[in-house]
Amino acid sequence: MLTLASKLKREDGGKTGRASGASDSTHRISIRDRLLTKEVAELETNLPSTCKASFPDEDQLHHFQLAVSPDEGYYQSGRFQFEINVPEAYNMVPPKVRCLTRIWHPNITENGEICLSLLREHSIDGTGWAPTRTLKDVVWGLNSLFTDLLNFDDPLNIDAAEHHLKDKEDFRTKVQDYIKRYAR
Amino acid sequence: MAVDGGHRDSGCNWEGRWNHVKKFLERPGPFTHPDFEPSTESLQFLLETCKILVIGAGGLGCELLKNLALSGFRLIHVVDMDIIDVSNLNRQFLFRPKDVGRPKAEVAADFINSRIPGCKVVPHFKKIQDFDDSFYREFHIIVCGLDSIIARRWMNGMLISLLSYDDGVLDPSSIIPLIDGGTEGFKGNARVILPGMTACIDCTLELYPPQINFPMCTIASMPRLPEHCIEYARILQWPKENPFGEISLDGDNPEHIQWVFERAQERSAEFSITGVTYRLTQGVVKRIIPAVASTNAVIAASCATEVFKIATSAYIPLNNYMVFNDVDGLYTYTFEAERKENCSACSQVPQDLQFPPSAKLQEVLEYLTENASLQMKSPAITTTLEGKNKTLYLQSVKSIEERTRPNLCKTLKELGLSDGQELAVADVTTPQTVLFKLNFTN
Repeated sequence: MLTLASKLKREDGGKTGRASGASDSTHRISIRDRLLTKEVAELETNLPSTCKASFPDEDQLHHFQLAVSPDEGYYQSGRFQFEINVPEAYNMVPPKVRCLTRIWHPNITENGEICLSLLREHSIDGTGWAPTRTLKDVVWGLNSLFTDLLNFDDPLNIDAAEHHLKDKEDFRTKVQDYIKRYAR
Repeated sequence: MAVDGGHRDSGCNWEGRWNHVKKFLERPGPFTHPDFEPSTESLQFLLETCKILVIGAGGLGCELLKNLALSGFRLIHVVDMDIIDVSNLNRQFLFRPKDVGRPKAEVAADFINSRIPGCKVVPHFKKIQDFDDSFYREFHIIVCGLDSIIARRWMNGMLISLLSYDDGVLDPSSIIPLIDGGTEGFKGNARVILPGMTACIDCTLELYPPQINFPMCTIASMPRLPEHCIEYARILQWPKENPFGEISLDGDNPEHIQWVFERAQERSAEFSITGVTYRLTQGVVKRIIPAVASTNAVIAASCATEVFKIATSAYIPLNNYMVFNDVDGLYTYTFEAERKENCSACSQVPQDLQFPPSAKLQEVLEYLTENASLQMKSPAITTTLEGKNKTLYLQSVKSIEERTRPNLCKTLKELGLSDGQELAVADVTTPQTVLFKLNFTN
């Protein structure tokens, strides 16, 4: 069948322009956009009760905000905003997430950088990003940063982790103070 | 400068010039394709008609251009968005020290065109994404010597979008074979992809090793590798200490590298990590992935051979994935990569949706929910206009539903949709997004 294909092309003497109307690259739906159509459509039904998603532009499904309001633990009563951007190369690469709310947290810097293995492109232990993961996993991962993924042993904000090590109660006080000032 | 005898006046085809190629095409042999008939037509096709696109003019690209040009291919286009760096010169042999800073595609084309009389390589100092389907449609075969998976996927997706179907049957003349080669150090692979027929890039995405990227928390608090120590010096210590003033780190400045190297050594001593060397420091700072000329030669030779086989139909092409590894001894293995059932790139043939341009979006929605074989519950519909997503209607996110509800009363034409427009539809009833193609009726 391959030889036939080549022969056909050779007889053409080149390519006959096929009238295809809208099939040029400006109309081709990218893999990212195809995936987003499904993942965004499923998003709201799969959110944990502590999370809410909002889309500033309904045409930009790749850019949205997530508000997490933990109902237990150190960060109870705070409302933390995350900004999620899904790059063109999704889902070979993970979404880029930033924390917009200033927070005292061992795995989130005060500038909003997040340490979550799920969001990492390469990880030696297999907990990093893979094309089998979806936005739902990212949302649950972010939510877990306030519960089971709260990790003082492998910190990004070393000061916060050491603070907790030295004096847990003082750490709790500072967390609540930050919530009062920034996370309402 | 033509070393081959300078017979430029005799029309570039001096006596005996193509004897080596004629041996394959003008006589029978034990390894030829069962349908092969020796003739002089194949060589003429190569010389005068066959149009090949080479993507990448680097390690693989230089070898590919040389191989193809010496095999008789003359109508070659080459695309590369990079300029020549001094570190390329040990293996990208179409370039010389005087060419550093010039676009790879242009220098490569100049070299081949002057070295091989009659060859007309057309360079494009551009990204592959700068071209649309009308450019790619013109080629008989496309060969890739790319250095990124993203670019491969893009090319793969482009060729799949060129496929046309008549009543669900693939039209073979719309297939443009893609020969893809990749190398990394002593390992390499070559594969033949017939879009729509054999496994595509996305079908075998898991075969690619994860790309190296060091997480900040590891660098900051728990380094384990010499690379972590180097990155610590580069990312954290340099901006803090600004050892040479407020300038950014220059990978080509030995003093800068020396400074990073010394800081990295201090840190590695703290954590009892061995392996920090000046050379590794340079490699990490400049993001150098070691390349070996011989691997590129082997893989490019394999790819060029496949181009030759497919263009002439004289031999059975590679079926369809070859791996090569000469780290220790020499190993090669060929297998038939299979298509993935739910491949996000090639498993779906867009289904036809027939509507007049005056139909309202509401009618499309009703069709998707009421049609017996679809029976969707609350489909989300998106499309791409001018390269950007447009959400036509998305019911399951309240804020988006409210903003897209007005679209339901608009006609398909008013929404900017045209004949052949691709629509992406997702619903609870579908495990993946389903693609449809709008077919305007009158």
